[in-house]
This record gives sequence, C-alpha cells and structure tokens, in this order.
Amino acid sequence: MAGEYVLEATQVSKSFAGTQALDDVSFNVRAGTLHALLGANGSGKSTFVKILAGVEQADAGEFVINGQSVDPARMKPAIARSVGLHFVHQDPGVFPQLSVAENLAMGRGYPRGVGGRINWRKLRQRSVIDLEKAGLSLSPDAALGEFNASTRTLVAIARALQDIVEPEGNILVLDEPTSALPVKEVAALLAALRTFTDQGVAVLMITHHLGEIIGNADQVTVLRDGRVVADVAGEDLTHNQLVEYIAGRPLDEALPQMPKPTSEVPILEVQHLSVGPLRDVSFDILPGEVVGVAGLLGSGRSTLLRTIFGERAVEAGEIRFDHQPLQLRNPRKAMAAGIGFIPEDRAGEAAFSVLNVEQNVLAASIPEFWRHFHMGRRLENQAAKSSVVEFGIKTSSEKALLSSLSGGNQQKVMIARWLRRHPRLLLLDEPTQGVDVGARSDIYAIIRQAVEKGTSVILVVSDFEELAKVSDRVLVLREGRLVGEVRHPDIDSKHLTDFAYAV
Amino acid sequence: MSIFSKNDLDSGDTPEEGEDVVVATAPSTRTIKERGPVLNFFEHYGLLALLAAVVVFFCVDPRTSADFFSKANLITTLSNQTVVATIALAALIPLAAGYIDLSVAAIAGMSSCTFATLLTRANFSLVPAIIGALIVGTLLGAINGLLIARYHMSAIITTLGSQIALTGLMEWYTKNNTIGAGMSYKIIIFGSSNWFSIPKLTWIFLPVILGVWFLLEQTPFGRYIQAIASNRRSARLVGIGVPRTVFLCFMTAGLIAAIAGVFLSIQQGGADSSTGPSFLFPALTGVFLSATVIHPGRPNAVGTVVGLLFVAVLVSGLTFLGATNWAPDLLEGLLLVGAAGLATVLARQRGGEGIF
Repeated sequence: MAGEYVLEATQVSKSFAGTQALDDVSFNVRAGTLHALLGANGSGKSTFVKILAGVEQADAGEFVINGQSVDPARMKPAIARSVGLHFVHQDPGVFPQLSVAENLAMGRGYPRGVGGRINWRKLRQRSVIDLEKAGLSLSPDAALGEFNASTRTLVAIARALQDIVEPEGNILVLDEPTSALPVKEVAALLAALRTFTDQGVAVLMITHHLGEIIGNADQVTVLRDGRVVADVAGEDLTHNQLVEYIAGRPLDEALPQMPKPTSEVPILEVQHLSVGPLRDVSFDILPGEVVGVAGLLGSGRSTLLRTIFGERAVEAGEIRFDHQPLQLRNPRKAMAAGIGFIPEDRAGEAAFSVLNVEQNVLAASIPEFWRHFHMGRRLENQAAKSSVVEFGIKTSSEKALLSSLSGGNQQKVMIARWLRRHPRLLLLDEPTQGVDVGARSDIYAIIRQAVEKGTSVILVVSDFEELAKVSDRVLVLREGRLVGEVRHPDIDSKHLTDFAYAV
Repeated sequence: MSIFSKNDLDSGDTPEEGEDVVVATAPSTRTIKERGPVLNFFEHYGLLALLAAVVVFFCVDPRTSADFFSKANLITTLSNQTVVATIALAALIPLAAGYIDLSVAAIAGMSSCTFATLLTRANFSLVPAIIGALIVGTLLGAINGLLIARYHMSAIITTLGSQIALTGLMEWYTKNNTIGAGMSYKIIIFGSSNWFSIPKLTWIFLPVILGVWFLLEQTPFGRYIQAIASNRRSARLVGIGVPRTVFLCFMTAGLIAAIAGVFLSIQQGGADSSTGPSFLFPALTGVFLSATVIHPGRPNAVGTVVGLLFVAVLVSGLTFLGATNWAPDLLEGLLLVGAAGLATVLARQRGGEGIF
C-alpha cells in the first residue's frame, strides 16, 4: 500500500575534512513501503542516517518530511522525533534482564500511580497494546532475554514506535537491523517489518546483505562515493544488478580460481583453522607479501588476525610460522616470533592516550631499554626521536601527549611502535580508519617500505577499492569461510564485492 | 608465580574483560592542547610551592612560629609520618596501575602484630621476626592480587573486605591489648631515637622510598604499570602480562605494608589492633595528592611524600593555632576529596578518564 511521499531528501550534501561524504543526495520515501538504502562501506549511507537523526548536520540540502520542510543543516534529534522519524540502531539497545514491558517503558517512561509509584497494571495493559501493534504476541512480564535476537530487535522497534498515534506519516529508520541476527532469524524480522508497512509506516532500512533486499524491498536507493547511483523499484532487481550498482562496474560472473600454491617458502602457514566464526581456513603468506583480507563485518576477518597474534585460542587447526608450529598462548609469544598487530579500535585497544608519544612508540619495546639495572632514558629518547623522524610523525615533541596528536599521526605512532621492532609479519586491522587522505597515503608508504625490507603484511580493510590498490593478493572471507583468493591482475573492488556479497 | 600456570595468566583476559577497570580506558578522540610554561610549572610543582608557603607561613606567624619552627616539632612530625608514608607507598603501587588497595593499613597492622608476637611470645630474634612479618604481609597482598588479577574481582571490594576482615582478626587475636610486653629495650630505644636530629626510622624509610621510586620509574615493571593504568587492553596487545603485573603490584603492596608494620611495632614498642588500620585514610590522602605534583595525573613516589608532608605540616600548624582533634579529620577528608578530584581533572586534561 504505497502512499504519498513521507520523506523527500533534496540535494543533501556533507563533507568531512576534504572528503565529500554526501554529494547532492536526493531520493524520496513513500508511506507504507520498505525502502532499502544500500552502499559499500564509506558510501555515505551512515552519514545520511546520522543527518536524518540529527546527530550530524548537513552542509546543504533540504528535507521535506510529511509535507514539512526541515533544514538538514539544523537537524536535531528532537526535530527528527517531532516530524515522525523513529530510529533503531545497529545495537538495538534493549535490556535482556528486564521484562518486555519494562523494555518498552524505557522509551516512554513508566505509568505512575499514587505517590509516584509505578503502575504495573497500567504498564502491562499498555505494553500488550504496543506489542499487538507490532504484531508480537509476547507476555509483557517475560524477561526479554528469553527471546531470540529477532524478537528483541522487534521489541526495540515496538518501543521506537509506541508513541505514534497514526501509523501513516511515520518513518522507521533501521540501521543494519540484521547484522547481529543469525541467518534464520533474518526472514522472521523481514516478515515482521511488513506488519508495519501494511499499516502505513514507511521503513527505511540500511543494510549490507543483498539477499535481504531482493524480493523484500519496494524501493532501493544505492549510494556510492556519496552519490545516489541508483534509485529503483525493488521488484525485478537482480543480485548482479545490485552488485553492479554498489561496485560501479558490470558484474563478471567468471570468478577467478584459487591459484596453485607457489613454490616459494611461506613464512606463515595457516592450516584448517577454526576459531569463533572461522571455519576451516587455510592459506600461506610469503615473505614480503601484502595479503589483503576482504569480507563483511562479521565474516571473521578480525578474529583471523587476533588468532594469529595469539589473542584468541586456536580451536582447531594449526598455525605454522617459519615452519615451526606456533603454540600461541598470548601476544607475547607471537611478538617474540616476530609478529606485530595493530587492532581496529585504536582508542580502545592500541593507544595510551595519557602517555606521551615516546612511551607510545616504545610500548612494545620496553625490555629493550632495561640495561645496566635501570631504564636507559637517553636511549629511549633517542629511539623515540628517530622513530618520529623515520615515520614522519607530526608532533611538537616526542614528549607531547599522544592525545594531542591528530588521528592520522596517532595511527603513525601505532605503526611506528611495531615497525621499529622490525616484525617479520605485521597484522593490520583497518589501519586507515578515521584517517584523512594525506595520512592514509603516508601510512601506506610506510608499510610499503617495511615490505620492501621483507616484512609480510596481512591487511584487513573494509574499503575494497583501497584493499585492491595495496594488496598483492586478496583472500575473501564470507561467514567464516575462505571463499576465494584474488590475484593480480584481477584484483579490483568489483571482484572483491562479488565475492564478499555472493549469496 | 607458581600459583597459576603461565597460560592462565596470559590468556585469561578476553577482550570483554576490560569492563571493571578502575582507571577506565580512554576512548576519547579529543585533541588535547599543549599548555603554557607557567601553568605547566604549577601543575608539576604547585603542591611543592604550596608546601613551602605553608611552612613559611607557620614559621613567620607569631602565634605559631615558636612551637612550629622547633626541632621537637620536626622530629614529632617526621616520626609520626614515617609509618603513614610507608603505608602510602604500599598503596601507591597498585594505584599507579589503576587499582585501589584499601587493605594496606590493615596488612601493616597484621604484620606489626606478627612481628611483636614472634619477638615477644615466640622468642624469635630480630631478623627472623622481621622476615616473618614480611612474609605475612606479602602473602596477604598476594591473596588480594590473586583475587583481583586472576579472578577479575573488583579491587575496591576485595581490598575493603580484606581491610575489615584483617581488622577483625587482629581484634580477636590481641583481645584489644597491646602485644609487646617484654620487647627488647634496645628496639624500643631505637624506635624513639634520632641520628642528626632525624628519627632513625625515617633514615630507614629512605631506602624504602628510593626502592619504590626505582621500581616505578626505572624498571620495565614500572613502565608496564603506567601502560596498564593508561589502557589495559592496549597493554595486553603490546605483550604486557596484565594479570601478572597486577598480581605483583598487590603482592609488592603487601610487602611494603609489612615493612610499615615493622616500623610501627618498633616505634610503639609493641603492636595493637587499631593503630595500623587507622592510618589508611591519611595514607590514601597522600597518595591521591601525589597525582597532583611532579607527574600531574599520575600517582608517584616523591609526590606521595610531598603530599603527606603537606597534610602533616598543615595539621601541626593548625594545632598550634589552637585547632584540636577535629582538625586532622576535617582536613584529611577535604584534602582526600580535593586531591582525588584534582588528580582526575589533571588526568582528564591529558586525554585519560582520570583516577576513579
């Protein structure tokens, strides 16, 4: 029951420090439809949602929401709510220990009785109505944790929609609602979304998974590099067409074969490795090789790196380094073998923000400076100084606090920390995330230099274009399995997208 | 370190485990401004300057100068502060790694009881009695460390429980009497005499503070502690054995607290159940003040002594001004909150989350 336009976005633009995140984005969403917003990582879809939610402000453009003109440069969360936008984020923000009714009350507050006490009876009645509207038949008293993940997401949706009076004119924005769901629950969630669209609610869904869109979405808008490259009806869409829109090149069905093992002597051999999401992964890395790992969020890419670094225990299979089986129990053993690791979450897992640049650069080399029964402070300072110069870290001094540096320079510090140890294998998880274009090319130049000296690199990067550019070959992970390997001259983002999205 | 296998120590940490860290990780991407030289000086040496100003004030003010600026007052102040300062240094080591230890004063009490018992009731000679006391303190610290590092229990709860339980144990054992009848006269005289107008115990304290300073500033262990305090998960991913380091921090705290216990017994010529535990909050005040001087935002050894002297001088000066027994409690309470608050501000300005 597609109705009038409830959301009209016109020429919405937004730039961050030199990059155009959104470039004249225009598209419309009709009432009562399931509208999918697609795009590769970095295509601008998250930025668009943030602007819609009022978390970020656009530079230019216009929204018309339910006939009301809204300036996206002055969007605020309160405005978004008042014009009928409702958001459920990737992490639905529910409380498994609390009851269904209490989870709903977290959105609107508890109904009160005499003396401000919680009126539990009223809450229960209200919850039953809210749940019915969402097509859920749950006991309001049951703990939410008893239900499966798709039901929990639906409760979050019911909570987001509970204070609407008329379903018409409301827009439910779901940011990757299925990314945390097991495959078999995705269908249940999608079916349930129909309950809302049938009532007249417009659902704008951001997703990575093409399979969910085909046969489900009424309208599909695809963003690439901040622009709308397709805005098409959902029926008749094929998987290949979608991949083409996302990657920007026609789909070539002929996927490259896995090449035969090389005769060269590998430094790292991973054999039938199973850990967490990873299933039976085998591959070799040669000295001086840059091997990319492509895969979507949840494909097991980070787990792979963490396991090689000894941070996660091997469940099955073997990792051999330099022909010796690596009995990895902890990062220290991996470090002693000559492995370095830069995790994805710099602030949370790599940076020591209250310590200075020197301490951060030398953090993985502390015992090196324990000489003649004291810490060789002068040696430390010299080492830090030479690293600052060698890796082009822009800082007022090596004694400056790490937190005073820009993101790109902080990342250079992290890379310097490992490269100064001359690792034989460097594991990089999203090394250029949140780093501007200039620093990005600096970082790759630094990595290249190390590679020329014989360091091997395993690189996880979400941006397939970037991955294609810097890797000698790319391993593609999908749902924990190694599904392909792409070598030159076939490495380009299209091939990788094909592989990563293949259903 | 045979209590647990190497494997347990190292791989026990899962990435999810960082939740109960006392000094939180620093997820901020705030950019921090460099500060000017004047502000910089005051952040590093402000408390030292304040200490000097207070000393000068009480020396000059006619109401206090006679009593305050005297050899007797110097000796009293130093001898009172030696035990507190040693307990403070014990608390400093886990605190430098971001973990509070509320049990150090009770461990000092237990060790002093052990020392006095071994000396007077078990007829040990001096050195074995000291060793016995140190072993008891170290073991108690190790138990704290095991619970906190190995089993990921909250440091504040674990050590609070230890403090209370140990105090109870001492009350039961001493029956609220002083143990020490028959302690050698030589020891008692040693505890109350001076070298060059400075109490002998204070001289012995010097190597202790030197040792703690060396441990924290001049060894890889000290660097590991700083890294853990800044970001536990990052520390693990640069190869630092976080559980092992934390365990050793609490064990070392127990050892140093035991040294404080021995000092206490020597000074008092005996041991009782209440004196040791009563030093907890004065000691903590000193440790928190230390994070506002020398190395702003980071508790440190020299700062601890500066902090304690500041409190002691203020209390003694105010006492000469006529303030009575309410003054130390009020001052220490205010300074504890003020110091912890200031330390947090200083740490946050540096992009961290602050202590506690």
